Amino acid sequence: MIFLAEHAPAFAIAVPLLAAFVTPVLGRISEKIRNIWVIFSLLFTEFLVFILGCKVLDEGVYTYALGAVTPSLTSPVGFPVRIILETDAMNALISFMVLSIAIITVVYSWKFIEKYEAQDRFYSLLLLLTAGMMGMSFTGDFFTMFVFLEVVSVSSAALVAFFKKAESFEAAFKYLAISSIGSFFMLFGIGLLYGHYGLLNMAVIAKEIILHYSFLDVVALSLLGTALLLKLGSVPIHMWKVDSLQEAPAPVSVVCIATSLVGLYLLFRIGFSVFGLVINSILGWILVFFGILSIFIGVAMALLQNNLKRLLGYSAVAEVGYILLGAGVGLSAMPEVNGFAFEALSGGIFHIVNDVLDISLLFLIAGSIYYITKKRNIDELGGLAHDFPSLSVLFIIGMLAISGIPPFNGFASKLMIYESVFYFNPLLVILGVLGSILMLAVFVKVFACIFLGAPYEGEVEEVPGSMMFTMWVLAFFILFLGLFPQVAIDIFIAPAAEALVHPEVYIGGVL
Amino acid sequence: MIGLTLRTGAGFWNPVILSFSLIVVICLVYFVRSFGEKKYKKGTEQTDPFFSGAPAPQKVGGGNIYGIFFTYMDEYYVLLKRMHTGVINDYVYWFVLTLTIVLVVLALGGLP
Repeated sequence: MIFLAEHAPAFAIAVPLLAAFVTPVLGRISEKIRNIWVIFSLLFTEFLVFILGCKVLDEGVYTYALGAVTPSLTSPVGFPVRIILETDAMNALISFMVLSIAIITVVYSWKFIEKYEAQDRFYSLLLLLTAGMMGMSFTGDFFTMFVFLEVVSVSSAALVAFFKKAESFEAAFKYLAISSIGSFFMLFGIGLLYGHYGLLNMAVIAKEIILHYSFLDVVALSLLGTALLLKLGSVPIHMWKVDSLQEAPAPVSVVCIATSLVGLYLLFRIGFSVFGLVINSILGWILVFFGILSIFIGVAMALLQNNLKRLLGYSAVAEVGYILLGAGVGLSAMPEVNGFAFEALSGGIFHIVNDVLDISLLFLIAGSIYYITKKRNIDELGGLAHDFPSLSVLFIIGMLAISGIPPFNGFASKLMIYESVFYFNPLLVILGVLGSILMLAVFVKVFACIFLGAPYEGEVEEVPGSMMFTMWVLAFFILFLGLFPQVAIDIFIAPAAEALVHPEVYIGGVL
Repeated sequence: MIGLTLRTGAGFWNPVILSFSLIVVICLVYFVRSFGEKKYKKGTEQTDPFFSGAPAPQKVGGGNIYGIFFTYMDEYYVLLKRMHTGVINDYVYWFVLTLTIVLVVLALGGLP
């Protein structure tokens, strides 16, 4: 156990990576063995991340140097020379969430993709994508972050094209092309930092930047920040994300939401831990600006849509806006000094967790509706509550949660954001609440069109038990976090926010 | 109720108390409802929705809901639709524009 805990960051990347390459081989032998292998790999990785998370919560930042005689030997010649994986409460939380979503996705996909070809490739790419997200989450240096970002982009694009339709290929092409452009600008930013400091380690750059901060750093931050805003799908660079969420199979859309989660983490890591000591107020306002823009344009576009998955895509964009709003206020108002800024940041982090659960549930319901009716347009549906009462109950849970209605989880995090942002600027709260009201309007329309009315007359299939199970699991956590939000805050949200507001601890982990 | 009350910095929120109150209210409503008229006959015209004497539509399309909202917000939506072309060149244009805004704002307000 001690050995596993010591090497957990490396194993958390290596296990899904190796499992991805073994999966097609096992798929040739038996589908059942392949499925067991995939779920076992992910469960084992989640177990590793869990023990790593417990270790981090107990002992603080854990630094792991790949290839060193001892994992803690990060700077053998006075500065870090190896690939360093640095874990604190923030990235432990993100990794745990990512793996939980990956497990849910795999169980859901057993039946969902049963009738399609290329299942081996699907699971293999899913594991590769998970390994990429683990790498992005744990890495302590910029170049490794870029490499894993590329792994994530390529595997996501391939998964988006899974249905092999013209629209899927177009969405995958857009995903790949825009991701590549974002990655190119990100690499340029990383190159600038490397040229300036001669190092790529985030902690060391964070330390050096205090002494040598210049216009070059501003350019690098702009490039990195904008590329990450693109990756997480903030308005006005969100269109490619909505296209891909619409055309991807429902479980892939859920994993794409998880990639946005990792993108948010990286944005926070760079904003708080790397540049947080030299630049905060203006960067925070930039995040607030894009947050408000995302809320309004996302929800307004969602209201217009009749394609269920496209509508959910725009809702996901709007939800990212709330996270940016909370984190932006946290960054702008010095959370280490102002209690309300810390609460805003905690609310933003809590909303990451809640958003992933809520929007994942709604995407899986959309997938189930497609599975049973083969339709995505809400105008072609109706009256499904007569035949599928459980699905309609699940939809109500997801709808109320994402709209921030009590006692569901979305309300708890939005309340934290609203109350703390009020101290910063009351106008932002008014805009946020308006966005929430419009979000509820969006989902009332969807619910009325899909579930209410005369019974559906088209041919329908039953929703398989494994798919229903995954959705009930998500609904359970939505209810749990809604009823007991302070438990989540105390156990993992507050430590994650603490990890971000104290960059000196992150720097001290390496040096 | 330590651990059950969410402390938001400015106030607090206890979802368990709210949920309990909600259950009590639902029970009360159900109790009051039980005193209601019992002549309800399922499947008769009693259960048809009233639509000003005309036959009620069986289905209202998504595009028809919030029609007035869209009418009054027409200019806003024209702008939004113009923004969402679906053309990849435009996506890159928005990316470059965003990068420029971020760079200019950071350069103006973020330098020491």
